[in-house]
Amino acid sequence: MGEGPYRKGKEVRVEDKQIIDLYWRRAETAISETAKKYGRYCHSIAFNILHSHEDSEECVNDTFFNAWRTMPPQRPSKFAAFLGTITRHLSLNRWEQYSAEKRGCGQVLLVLEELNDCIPASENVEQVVDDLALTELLNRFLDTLSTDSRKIFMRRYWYMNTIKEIAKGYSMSESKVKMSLFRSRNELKQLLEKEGFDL
Amino acid sequence: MKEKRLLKAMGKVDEKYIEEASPAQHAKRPGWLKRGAIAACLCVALLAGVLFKIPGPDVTIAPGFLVVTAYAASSDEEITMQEGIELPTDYKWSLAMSSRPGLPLKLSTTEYDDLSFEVSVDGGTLLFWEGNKITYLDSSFNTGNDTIVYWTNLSRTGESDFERYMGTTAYINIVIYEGDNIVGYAVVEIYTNDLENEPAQTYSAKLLKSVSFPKANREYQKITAEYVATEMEQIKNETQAGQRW
Repeated sequence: MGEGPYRKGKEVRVEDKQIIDLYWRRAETAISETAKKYGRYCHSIAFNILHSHEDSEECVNDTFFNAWRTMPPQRPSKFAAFLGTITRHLSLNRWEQYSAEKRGCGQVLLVLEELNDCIPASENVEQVVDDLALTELLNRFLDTLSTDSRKIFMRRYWYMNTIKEIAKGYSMSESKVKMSLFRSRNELKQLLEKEGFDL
Repeated sequence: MKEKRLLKAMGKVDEKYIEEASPAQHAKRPGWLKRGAIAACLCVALLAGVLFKIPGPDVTIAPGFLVVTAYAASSDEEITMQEGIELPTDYKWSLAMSSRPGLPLKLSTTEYDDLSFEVSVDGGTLLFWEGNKITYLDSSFNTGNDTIVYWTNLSRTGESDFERYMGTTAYINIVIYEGDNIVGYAVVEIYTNDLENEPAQTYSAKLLKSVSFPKANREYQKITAEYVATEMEQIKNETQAGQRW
């Protein structure tokens, strides 16, 4: 192999920084290295939303092309999260398109139903919050949670894992996961109400 | 919808929280553990058949005791699957061509008395076939010794609605329990090389890995489901990386 993170006759695991450097050098191996290291991670994010391997594969491929378009100028410090964010965004867009066509599936409807618990009643709110302020509030909210509760919350509402998957992943009962999510949703609702936010 | 807005806003939270909860992060093993695993493999090469120990979380592993038996498509012949070796051609299964409702695999072992298998599948569906009655199984289920499960590339989406699984690869994950203790696991890969030949594509299988956790000082090792899930993901990741690129 000429360019790229290979040694003769032996494949080595490539650091994120090296992969990002490949993008900056416009080396096409950037995409194959990204796929090798993070293809499955991105696929699982897409699959939790779309429940279709074919659609998930397309979203993952689109993720890599988006990464190609945005680096440079971007140089993400957390490469996995950077890719995952793109995959999640693309997958949710595709899910919206499908749900409009009545082809919705996956965990999204369940997750949306649960998140409805967090929405304050309209009479208690003082301002319609903009996207930036909402994200900032969510960051503050996540910071208040214990590490375990935060991980469970993120696995459910960011990665859209099923309750069962979360329970299995953290070796705990499903009821414990549900209870943790219930408490966290209540806390989020209280914070939104306290700060008088409408969505 | 307000909740949809909340869901989208979640997508923009600080990357440190995304990374912290990442299943990949969860599965990540420290570098020293990986080096330990390599060292352990070298020990195996030198001391074939002798148990080896991965330093770190005090997990002693040994070759698996699970026997996975496959059956020929058009005869009574059977074969015990060997790790890393794919099935012979006449053991391949095809929905359109085979008289069986799925690719049959028998899970058995004689090592423990009170054994159960927790079986899950990534892609396709597993089913039981008894007395010409087909029972489709949940994506994760428990079963006992000497069970024959059938893998099919169909997924049931309704009472009589089916969807074809269009991936080229699927995996069967088997975690072996003695009572509440995990005593081993195995990963079987199912794959097709002629997906475009629908509906007559043929599927073969390969036992990717079979591992057991022997008792240490007559005590069960404290193996968590999380540890096993991580190991199995790692095996699949490595296989996929090898196949794709």
